[in-house]
Amino acid sequence: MITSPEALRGPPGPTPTSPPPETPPGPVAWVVRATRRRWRIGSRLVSANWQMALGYRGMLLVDSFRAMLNPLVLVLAWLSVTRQAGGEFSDGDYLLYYLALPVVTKVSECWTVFTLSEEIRTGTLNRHLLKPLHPLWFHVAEHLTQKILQLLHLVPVVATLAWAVGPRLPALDLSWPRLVVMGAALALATILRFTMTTTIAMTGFWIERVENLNLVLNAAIFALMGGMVVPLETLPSWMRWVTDFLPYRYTLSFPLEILRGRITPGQAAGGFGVGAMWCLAWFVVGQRLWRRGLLAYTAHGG
Amino acid sequence: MAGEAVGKHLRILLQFWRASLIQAMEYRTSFFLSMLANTIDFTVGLAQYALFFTVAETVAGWEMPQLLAFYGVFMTVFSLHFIFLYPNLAAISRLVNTGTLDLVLVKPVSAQVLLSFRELSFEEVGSFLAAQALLAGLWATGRIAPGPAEFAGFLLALLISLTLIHALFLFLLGLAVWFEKLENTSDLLWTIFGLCRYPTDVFPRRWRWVFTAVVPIAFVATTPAAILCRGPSLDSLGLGLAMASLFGLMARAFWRWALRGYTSAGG
Repeated sequence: MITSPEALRGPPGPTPTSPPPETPPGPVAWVVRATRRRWRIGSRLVSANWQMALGYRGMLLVDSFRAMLNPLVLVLAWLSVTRQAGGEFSDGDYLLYYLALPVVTKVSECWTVFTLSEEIRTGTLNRHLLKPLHPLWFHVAEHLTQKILQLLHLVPVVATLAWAVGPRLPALDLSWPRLVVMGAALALATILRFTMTTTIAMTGFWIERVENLNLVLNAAIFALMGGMVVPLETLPSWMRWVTDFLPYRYTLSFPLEILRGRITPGQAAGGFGVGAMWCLAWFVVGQRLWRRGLLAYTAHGG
Repeated sequence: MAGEAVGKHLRILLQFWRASLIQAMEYRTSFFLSMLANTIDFTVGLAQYALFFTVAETVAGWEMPQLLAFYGVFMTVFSLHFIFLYPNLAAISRLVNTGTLDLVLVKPVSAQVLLSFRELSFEEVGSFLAAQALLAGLWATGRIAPGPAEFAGFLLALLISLTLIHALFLFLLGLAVWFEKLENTSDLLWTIFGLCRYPTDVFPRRWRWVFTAVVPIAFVATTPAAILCRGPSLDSLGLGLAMASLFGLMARAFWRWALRGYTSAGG
């Protein structure tokens, strides 16, 4: 009878040769290796998503015209306005604002609240949970490719319109430092919108319909406080105080304010600070929801 | 005879709507939450229009109470479309792809009526009620003062607006049957609604003509709101009636034509 655990293991064989002691990789080698692995995975994810996105390329040009439509109506509304004296924005400013707005919206756009919550609801998430990569990276890759592809179609449309109204646009300072700050503001907008929307999507672990929460936190209020309907720079100062505090400004208006160039370096730095704080806050909440959510998650299938 | 047919269809639709309501009540919390969410969304949308006037005195000739009334009218049309038509538009692609459309077509009732109004979506009831409250509030505080003539003209204009929206909806239904693999038909409808969100007076002259006489989006919200605030205009009502009849008949013809080409996927 086998009674002891030792007996289960069978007769002691030749002691297994321990693997040759690995020289622990130096920090540089480790970084190189990790980067290479991420690059490999990332580029494959992106190329797979690229192929998928190309399947729908027929709609892309139509979509970019659609993306222009709402800003177009708004800029026409603003040009038709009888303005009070001493306003902040001239006609050219409004034109510039609403030409650049669809590009910023497209760059920072995030739709995980629909796709991720759908995965959670239907159980498709299971498939991604089995893979040795955080499931969110699949969404990041999808967003990246979709955005590149859509921007390739949107930017020519915007450029044509900008050329058409060219003489009416205000002069722009497009020096390198400004472009770099602009890029940083766009990156902040993208990351903030992603963390915020994804965190809302993660409530899908507990709530049947995430769309309601999204509607309250992320829809009309985003258009209002983000500066889609009324450029924030034209708001009265007590409202600026509110919009400066809320996250929405940093997902839309902030890069446009930097493009327009009336913002002082101090204000810009403050903006980056507040935006980064919101990123961090949403990230921490999102991470907690993710961990707890996975424990609560019971969807079958996929 | 005609009355009998209408009565029969109404009875059938009422049964379908009852089923929709029962279904919605299965998820009661979700139902009330979405009503609440839509009401909040409506209020924020209202603030958008009000914010125009922190900078502007008038928007294309519309003063603040008038533009708020415009928003109320727009949201009335939009929410009615969302409650009655939207879920059915979302369903049509599925019906075509799975061949379940056959089961609707063989029934001895009008397929057009059944497919248009079969399901109700109660989410936008919040917006609808909020829009009515807004209009009632504007009226009660005297910010808009429609007399009987204005009110009758407004109701007629609203009917024209809903007819046009239904014509567009029917056209999209036809497209979905015709193309079989068409998704996102509702996106097109929402794009059109995006154009209707502001009075067509904001557009340059030539476009305004296009939006009145070619793509008649001016009749969706601008005309009813203008009649409510500024009194009825026989010109726009007459043109609106003509456009609504024309587009209604065209959409119906297209729908029947698309159905004739429908080959079942087997249900």
